[in-house]
Amino acid sequence: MIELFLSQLLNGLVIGSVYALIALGFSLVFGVANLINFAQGALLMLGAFFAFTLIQWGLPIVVAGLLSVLATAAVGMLVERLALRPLRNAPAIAPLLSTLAIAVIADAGAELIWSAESQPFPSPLQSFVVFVGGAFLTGVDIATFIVSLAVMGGLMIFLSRSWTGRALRATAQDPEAAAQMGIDVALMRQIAFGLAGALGALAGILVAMYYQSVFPQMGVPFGIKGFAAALLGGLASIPGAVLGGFLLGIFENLASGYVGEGSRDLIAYSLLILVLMVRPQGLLGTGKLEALGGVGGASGAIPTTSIIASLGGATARTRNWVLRPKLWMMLAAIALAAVLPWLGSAYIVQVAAGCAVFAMLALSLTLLSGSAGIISIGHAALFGFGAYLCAILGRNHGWPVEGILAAAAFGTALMAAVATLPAIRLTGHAVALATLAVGQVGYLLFLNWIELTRGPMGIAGISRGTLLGIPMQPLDRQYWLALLLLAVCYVIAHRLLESPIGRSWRAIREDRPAAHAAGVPVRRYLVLAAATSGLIAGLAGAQFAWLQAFVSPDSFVLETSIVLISMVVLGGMGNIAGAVIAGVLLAILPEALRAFDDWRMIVYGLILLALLRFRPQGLGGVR
Amino acid sequence: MAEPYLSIDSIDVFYGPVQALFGVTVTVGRGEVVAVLGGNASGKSTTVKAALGLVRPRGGRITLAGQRIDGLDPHQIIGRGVGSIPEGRRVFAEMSVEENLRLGAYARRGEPPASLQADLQEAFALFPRLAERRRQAAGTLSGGEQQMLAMARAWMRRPELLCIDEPSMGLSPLFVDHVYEVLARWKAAGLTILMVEQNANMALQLADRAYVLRNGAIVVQGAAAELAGDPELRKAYLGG
Repeated sequence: MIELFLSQLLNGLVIGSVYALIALGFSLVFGVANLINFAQGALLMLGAFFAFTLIQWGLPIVVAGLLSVLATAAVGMLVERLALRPLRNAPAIAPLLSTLAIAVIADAGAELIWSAESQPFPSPLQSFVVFVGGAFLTGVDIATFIVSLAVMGGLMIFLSRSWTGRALRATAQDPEAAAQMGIDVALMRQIAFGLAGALGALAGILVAMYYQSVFPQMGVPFGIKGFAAALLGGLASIPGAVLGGFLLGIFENLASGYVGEGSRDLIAYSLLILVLMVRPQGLLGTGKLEALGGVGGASGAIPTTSIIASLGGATARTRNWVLRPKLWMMLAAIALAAVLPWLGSAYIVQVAAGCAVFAMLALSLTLLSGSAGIISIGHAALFGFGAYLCAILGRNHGWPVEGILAAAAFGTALMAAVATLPAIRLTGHAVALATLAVGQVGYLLFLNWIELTRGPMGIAGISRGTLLGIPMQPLDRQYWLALLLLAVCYVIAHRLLESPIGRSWRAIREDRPAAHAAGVPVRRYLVLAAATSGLIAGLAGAQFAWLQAFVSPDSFVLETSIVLISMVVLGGMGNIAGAVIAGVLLAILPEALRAFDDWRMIVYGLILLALLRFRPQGLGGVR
Repeated sequence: MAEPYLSIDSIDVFYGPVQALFGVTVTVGRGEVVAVLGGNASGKSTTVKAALGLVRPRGGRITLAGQRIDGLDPHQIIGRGVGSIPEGRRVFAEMSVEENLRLGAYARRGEPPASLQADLQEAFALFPRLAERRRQAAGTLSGGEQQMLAMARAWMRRPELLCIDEPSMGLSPLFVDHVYEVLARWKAAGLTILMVEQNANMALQLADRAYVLRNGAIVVQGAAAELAGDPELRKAYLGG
């Protein structure tokens, strides 16, 4: 008994030291550049792969590691160049989504270069074992622990003693005052990103040695966990990042030891959500997160997720143009959609029905993220919730189609309201993080709750049943149903946005303290926005399950959420017509790019990056 | 008259579509103390921000010791011998008093540590209150003490030209007197100062010359002693 505890504790300290390194990278960038760097996980993954390649070229592991750390630091600086510097005057949300786009491009790029499969990473110290009481440590464990501690110590001394370190901290506290001390603030931001890259690469190499493998998807979980650690300790606090890393490592290992290995990630993400809800400033946190809008309320400078607000000073030429579709445009779109089944191609109808599903999803997300300003990077979980409800109720319990539609709509609405609660007190970048964690928890539940979801195998053979006495088996009818639901949801969304409810949502997005002060019950309106969004997402999920006749966790991964937020940005945040068009466009894109399927996510990433840079108000304009 | 040390020559400054300064010209000679006065939103802070590179003028030019500095970044301008006491003090709240002072000397980081150490001791001698609190986090100081720290921090730069934005803002009268005593001592030692101040009476006692801004344009300028009784000055503050 005590052996298990001791061995999990030691393992926790080892993996915790790696989390601490990642967390330090997050904290440095967050402090100096006021940005949650979603590309931190990608830097970790790239660092591991650079070292992997150099070792394959025959370099000794230490040399390969050092070169990789330098190379990844350079990549980190490049991220600053691409995601932050050109967007200094852009909406506050643009740099955040840009780092997300870069992460997507890096992950997909790594799959192209190094293959999507896991590859063995040499770990020369693995066979060296030391016994500590009843537990044992390998050479890799010891090396990981010592290297991490040494790097943390070195970083602390650098930050407190050197000119550059002090300048970094000064920039984090007050960039404008730092500039008046003669500090090159832009350079400090770049250095912070470089350090984050170096720390990420080091963590990546240690992780690769620890698990003796490298794979392109390794960045996401470690990125999120490093973030959870940083947040646990207090986001802008350097000692907090270290403490948070160790705590998360120990906690997670104890959980996996006593509850089971499958619960490891689930518990890490749940912890992140819990911290965000209960103590968003973290254990050692200061008011810094508050100033960034981490905690709700009238704390002053909350960065708005609004794109309109930042266009305030724009000249007339670039000022927001908004697509407001005329009646004839709508009728033309409906006529076009109605003609498709008569072309006689099942493939076209299948694709068109898929487009309708994604248009609904984009519509639902643009209400939440665009109109109400809750940037969600976990929407795929709601989509999946609707799909799984349909699959389980229909296939296992024989519910009629009408019942399933109602359950998917209202069940997902309820789920959305509950799932959004952790995010509602938060604003700005912290919201994106909370929703990301919620989305990952959803995905992990689909994956691991095997009795209910059949896990990675998915649920096959979902039958379409009959709706109001009409058999829905033919694809055409399913397509008509998808179109009808899209139209109904569009009308509901349009009505809502034109009503005082929509006005209140936009008011909350533009300036939450002001909305609060004007008497808008912010929390109630945000729950309503989430529920409405969930209702539409749930209907889309059910449609998806019927169309594919199959659901599996693969459809509801982080990538799906990122594609959905790309649709919202492309359409113009809060613009429902734009969202529908963007949903259709980005849903057709993989069909058009079928021959280049590996490039699909890269193309999405590039589209998102280019949009944020050149046209943050999207195609349709922001509403 | 010799070339002024700092010359702000008919600059226009915009915040987005809003024009904040209209052809403002301000000069500061070596060893001179020049005050820029005006009411709220008259553009006086913007003038000193333009000199520091914190805002970029769209028209006009700014020279320091004969060289153009408009278009440079703040750190480059500070690097040319300018020190700044920012509006609202802006001390680094989570750092100790001593670290704040060391950051003040950031632009001198190439100099031997011994001379910086000597200056640090001198700063503590100048502001004994700060010496008592050297290990304390700057954010825990009182407003008046923070103003002292901001002044000592700027002094650590050993500037040729000191820019000050609203040194008396939010301070009790006792501290305002103390601030002006220190500034008078620095003036006597030959320091060149460009200051922005809402408290016209205090500023005119210290300054050699002054400019009065109203709605982003200079309405009157001249020797401080003459301006004190000028009705234009009163109008600039009270409107009408």
